[in-house]
Amino acid sequence: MRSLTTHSKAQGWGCPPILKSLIKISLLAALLVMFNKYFPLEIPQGNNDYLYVFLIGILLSAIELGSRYKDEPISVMTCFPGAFYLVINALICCLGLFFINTFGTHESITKTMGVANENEFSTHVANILYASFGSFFVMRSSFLKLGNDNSQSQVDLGLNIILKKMIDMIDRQVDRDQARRRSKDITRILKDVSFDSLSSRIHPFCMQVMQNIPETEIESLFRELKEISASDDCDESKKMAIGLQIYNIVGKRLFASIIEDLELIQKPSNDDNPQAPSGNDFSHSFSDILEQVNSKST
Amino acid sequence: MKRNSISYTALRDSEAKSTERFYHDLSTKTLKCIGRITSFDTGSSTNIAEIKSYMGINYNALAIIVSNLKKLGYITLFLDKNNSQEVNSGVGPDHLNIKLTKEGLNAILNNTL
Repeated sequence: MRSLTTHSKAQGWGCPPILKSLIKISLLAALLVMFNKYFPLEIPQGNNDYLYVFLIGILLSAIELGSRYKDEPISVMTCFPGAFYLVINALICCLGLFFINTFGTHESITKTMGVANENEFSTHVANILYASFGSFFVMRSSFLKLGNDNSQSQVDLGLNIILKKMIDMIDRQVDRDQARRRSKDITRILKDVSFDSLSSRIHPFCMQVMQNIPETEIESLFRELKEISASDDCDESKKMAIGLQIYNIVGKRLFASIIEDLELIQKPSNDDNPQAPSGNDFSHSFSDILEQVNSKST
Repeated sequence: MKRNSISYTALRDSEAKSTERFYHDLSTKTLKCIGRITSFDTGSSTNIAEIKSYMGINYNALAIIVSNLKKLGYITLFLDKNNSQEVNSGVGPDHLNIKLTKEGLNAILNNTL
C-alpha cells in the first residue's frame, strides 16, 4: 500500500503546493535583489506610503481571490493570472494614493475620526487607508443597473464593470489551470479505488476529521453525493464525481492522505470472479417488489 | 453555523435527514413523471424501463422510490399477462408495469406527496 503511494508521489502530486509557492516567491525576491543591484530602485523620500498601499491592495485582493477557490487558495495566487489580478488591484490602490496626494485635502486622521493626537504620521496613515480601502470600494461600486435582473442584457453602470470583466477573464484562465491540476490529482488519487469503498467510507470520515465545515455545507454535500450515487451513470464517472465533491472541500493533501490511511487503494486483480451486483441490476434491486407482485398475481 | 467538531451521531443524523429529503423529492418527481407518461389517466399504464429512462436514475434508487410510492398507495404494480406466470428471473423492467391510483392523481393535483 505504502509503495503505491510512494510511486504516486514520485509522479509529482505529493509535492506540497506551499513549497512550490515558497520557491516561486524566493525566485521572485532573488530576481528583485539582482535587478535592484544593477538598476537601483530608489523610492523618493516620503513615498513609502505607496509600498504600504501596494501591500494592502495585494492582501485584500488575495482574500477576494482566495475565497473563490477554496480547495487550493495559495496556488491560485501564485499562478500567472491570479498574480496578475493581485498586482492590478494593488496598482489601482497606488493610483488612488496618487490621486489623494495630487488632489487630496491632506486631512489627518484625527479630524475625520476624532482621535486626540494630530501629527504628520496620522496624515500618512489616513492617506494609506483612504487610498487602499477607498480604491477597493470605488472599483467595486455600481451606481446604476439597466435592464431586468433575469435578462442577459443587464448592464451594470459603474467602475465595477472593469474589474468584473477582468475577473471573468482571470476566473476562466485560473479555472482552466485549476481544472487541469484537479483532473490530474483526482485521476491519480482514485486510480485504484473502487466506487463502493469511496461512496461508503470516505465522506463521513472526512467530515469528522475536518473541524470547521459548516453544517449546511455538510448537508448539501451529503445530498450531492446521494444524487451522484442514484444517477444512471457508470461507476467510474460516479467515482470521479464523488471524489471531486470531497476533494473540493478537504483539498488534495488531506484527500490523498485519507485514501491512503483508510487503505482504500486496491491492487488490480486479474481473476474473473463475478462482481457484486451493482445498483443498476434490475432483478437484484426489484427482487422484493417482484416477489410481492408475483404472490399477488398467483 | 461554525462548530468545533461534529459527533458521529450528529453526522449520521444529518446524513439520514438529507437522504430522506432526497428520496422524498425524487418520489414527487417520479410520481409526476408517471402522471405525465400516463397522461394523468388512471386507466393507462407505464413500465419501469420507461420511467428509468425519463428519470435518469439507477434501479436501486428507483426500487426504493417505487416501494415508497406503493406503500403510500399512489401507484399499483402488476406484471405483463405474458410474464405473470414466469419466475422472477425472467421478468425484465419492460414487464413490470405501473398504474397511477386515484390517491396518486390527487397527490399530483394537490401537490401533497
